[in-house]
Amino acid sequence: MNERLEQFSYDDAIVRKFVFVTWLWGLVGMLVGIIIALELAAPYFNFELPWITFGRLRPLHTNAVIFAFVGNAIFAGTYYSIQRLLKTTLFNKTLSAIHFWGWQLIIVLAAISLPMGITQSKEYAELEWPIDYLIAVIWVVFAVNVFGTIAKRRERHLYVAIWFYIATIITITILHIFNNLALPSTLFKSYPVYAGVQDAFMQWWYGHNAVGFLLTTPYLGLMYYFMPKAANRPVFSYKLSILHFWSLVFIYIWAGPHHLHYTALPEWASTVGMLFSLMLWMPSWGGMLNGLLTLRGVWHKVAVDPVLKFFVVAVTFYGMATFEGPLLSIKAVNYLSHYTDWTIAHVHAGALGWNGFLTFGMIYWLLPRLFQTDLWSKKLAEAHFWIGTIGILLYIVSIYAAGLTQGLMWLAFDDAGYLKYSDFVETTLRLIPMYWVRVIGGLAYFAGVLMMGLNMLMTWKSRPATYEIPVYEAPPLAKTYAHPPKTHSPLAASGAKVADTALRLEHFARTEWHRAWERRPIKFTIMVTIAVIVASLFEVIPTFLIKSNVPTIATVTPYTPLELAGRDIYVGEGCYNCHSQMVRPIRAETERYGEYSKPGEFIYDRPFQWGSRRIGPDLHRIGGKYPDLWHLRHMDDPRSITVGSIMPAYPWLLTEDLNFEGVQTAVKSNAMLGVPYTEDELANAPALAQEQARVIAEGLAQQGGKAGLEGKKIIALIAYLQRMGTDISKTPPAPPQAEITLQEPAETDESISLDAGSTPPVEEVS
Amino acid sequence: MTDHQNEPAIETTEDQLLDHEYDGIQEYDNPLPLWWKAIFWGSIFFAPLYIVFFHFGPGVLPNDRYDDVMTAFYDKQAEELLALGEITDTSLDGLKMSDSMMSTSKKIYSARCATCHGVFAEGGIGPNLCDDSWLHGNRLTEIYKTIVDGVPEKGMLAWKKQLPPGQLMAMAAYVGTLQGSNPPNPKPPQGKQLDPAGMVVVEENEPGDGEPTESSTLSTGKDETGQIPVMPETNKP
Repeated sequence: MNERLEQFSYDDAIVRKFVFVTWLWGLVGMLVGIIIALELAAPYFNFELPWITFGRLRPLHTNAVIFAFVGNAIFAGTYYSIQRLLKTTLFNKTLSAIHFWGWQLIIVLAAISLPMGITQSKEYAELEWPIDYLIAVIWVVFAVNVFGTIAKRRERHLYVAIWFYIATIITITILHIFNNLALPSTLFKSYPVYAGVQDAFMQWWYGHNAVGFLLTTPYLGLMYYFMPKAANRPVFSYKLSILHFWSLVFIYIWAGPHHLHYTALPEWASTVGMLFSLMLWMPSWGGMLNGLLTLRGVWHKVAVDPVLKFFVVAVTFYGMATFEGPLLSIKAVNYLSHYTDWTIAHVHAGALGWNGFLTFGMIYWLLPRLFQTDLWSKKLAEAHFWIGTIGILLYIVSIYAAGLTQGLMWLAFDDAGYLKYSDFVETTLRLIPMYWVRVIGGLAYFAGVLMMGLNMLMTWKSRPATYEIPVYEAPPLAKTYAHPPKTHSPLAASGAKVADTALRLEHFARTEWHRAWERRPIKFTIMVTIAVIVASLFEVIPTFLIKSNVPTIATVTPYTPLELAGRDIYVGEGCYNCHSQMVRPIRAETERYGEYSKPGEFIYDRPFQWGSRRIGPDLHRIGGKYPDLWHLRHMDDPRSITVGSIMPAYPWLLTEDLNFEGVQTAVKSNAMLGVPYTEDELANAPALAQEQARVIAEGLAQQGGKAGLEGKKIIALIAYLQRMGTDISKTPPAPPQAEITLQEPAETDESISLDAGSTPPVEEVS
Repeated sequence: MTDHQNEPAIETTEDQLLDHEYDGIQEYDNPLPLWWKAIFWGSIFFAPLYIVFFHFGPGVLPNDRYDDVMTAFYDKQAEELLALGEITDTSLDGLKMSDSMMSTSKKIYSARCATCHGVFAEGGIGPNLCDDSWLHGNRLTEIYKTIVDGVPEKGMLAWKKQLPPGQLMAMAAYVGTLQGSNPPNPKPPQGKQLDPAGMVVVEENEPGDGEPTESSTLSTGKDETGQIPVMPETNKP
């Protein structure tokens, strides 16, 4: 077969670039993490500067770590490994360069726009629409470069690492496009095409799978390449690779709704999310087993090799986090854990342990090979390992303690049956010491990354004058492929009379069929796409089509133009990073906040603001709870109202002017998405907003607040806060004068009436 | 394979190398551990059981559980209220004698009330509680009612959900003890000036501080409902 040998070499220059920016953005992302950790421990670290307040910086931290640090590490590792696994150079050097610089541009734009308060407020998808388009383009460039490389390969079969890369590329494309569907309103602001419950569903379908297909599958791919290379050991089980790959890819997609237990999401979706999360446990652990068991026989090497040390701890944290994920998805556990720091500890075990340490191990393994010299200091790498491990432990132990403390305090009742800690701030103050421990843990981890930087710099300094580019030889893929003979089937050979099904099952249990898929990349990619899309559609279609998921509430009406402007400020300041807008049907919550949230209350919420963490109290029933003056003083100086509050002060909202003309654009955009604004609102939104602002500002001045605030942002925000969650307690309006809707007598559930209008008979789906 | 120390022992067990390699990486084809398979299939078979039990069977879903919990709580609360007997000005006044009740109430005042009514009850966002002018009546039963039900349209919370019935009564008595204390920086009087028996001495204080007029009603931002909250006339004996 190998009549003719072709010569080729590998492009390591692009890998060197990606490795450097991985380190650089990792440093930036973690530094921002330390800043926001400080802000929680001591709110004066917000310095009353808009662009560094917690609400604006937290998205920068998550985006920088996920897309800049982890993202660039994926690109570095993928580009290094696919060339070698496929025996070919990268598809196109220009595409590689566009990919590299395009991705760095996206990161820079993120680092500028997020602190400015330009955000979609969907977690890990905060970047506004122009950047989203750029991400899509650059991601496609990456995809073309990878698939082009696969097309030019000289190795017929795709190794398991590449299966994971393919799953990553396909799934992230789908997730990114469908979660970010939005109507641009201005260059810096868009409104999602989904509202309320559906927006929440799409966001957590995305959010969960972004973790799955950006923090998990590509890293499993990297593990499958770098771990056996570093250990010089065969992978434990090919069978396990197949089974855990497909089960992971298929099952992962379903699990998103576990982020929305006890919310206004329909119960059937919540149940599906939980059950698939439980099923996900073993597929995830398949990766851990294949990683750790690959080290059988070389454990003594782990003691002396920092690279293997990093890998072992990374895979162990992967195992821990993927056990904890299913655990947290159990409704009864989520009851306690949701909105607490437990989730934060969980994701940091994953991000610092699994992603961080796997990245560090990979970089230490790559440095001598990329710079063609010895690593400057193995001792320093060892030190990095130990200080990093201590950092992770300090971080997660303190934050697990914080999460449990807070969860238990929120739920605690006294003997008389009343909330034991009815003042939210009591539960916050209890966490402050743990927040300080987190800062120390974060600093230790950060110090480790600095050590790696020094090691990288010194290694780079002793590189050769010109890099040697070795030339390899391999035959091209033959046009025809002689299929291997079918292996012996014990069942057929036994001569027993068995059903056809049994033979097929036997064939399925043996892995030859999969071997055939591995040499057909197009078929393989299509199968992955089907697995991901089918699983998604099973949940998406019912969520959007079953009307009973979101029963209409007659008294819920669109926000007034001023309230809408206030809501946009709420979104822009990132209030959702600390405040949920979702009271769960749990007595401890309804006693604290008020009636639990109903799906029909959110139909005009674009984007939804349910939040995922309560650093401060839930706000869904804040409307009408306090006087306007309370809000004015509280936003200006939270600690003058609540002693010990860790909320940042927002004095600029009292001085910055509201752009009343812009309100018209916002109203029009929402109307285009189907929000029923009146002719008056569509034509005179600025005037209506000004009138409402005048009334509020006059009221404030009369109560002893500052006068002359009618043109300021704070008034819009107060209007929104006072409106929030109040619609369900209003009396239903008289029938609208303009249009007459046929209201058949429908089932009523408290104040909720099913709108029977033009919808088909309602199906109850459980 | 560089590691000669351990390899022989391992290679002779079940590890079978497959005939392919990628950039030097080889693979075994070891069978999956039994426990792995058991949990994997177990988690799959668990799903239909769970769905049948909770969605079509006797399992209680969160919203129904919530209803059960609330019903039980309301029953208990009704019992407690009955046990407390009739709430009168005299019965509330008697609570002032209990040092323990008053010191607990003082702590609760500092933690919960002081943000709006001032640390020394001198007033702030909410009215001054030390002077003899009152918006919603100064008799202990009237104060009790204001605490229990709140004045939502003016920002006073309804505390009945936050404090036990006995504590609500003690809070009313505690507010009664503040009468006549002279705090620093008192907020100007609001409402009607009343004598200790609750009779009106001066009908209206200075304009701007008294009963809500249209312009001083706190806006909830939704004025199209057009409802001005009607303040109850609280001075009838």
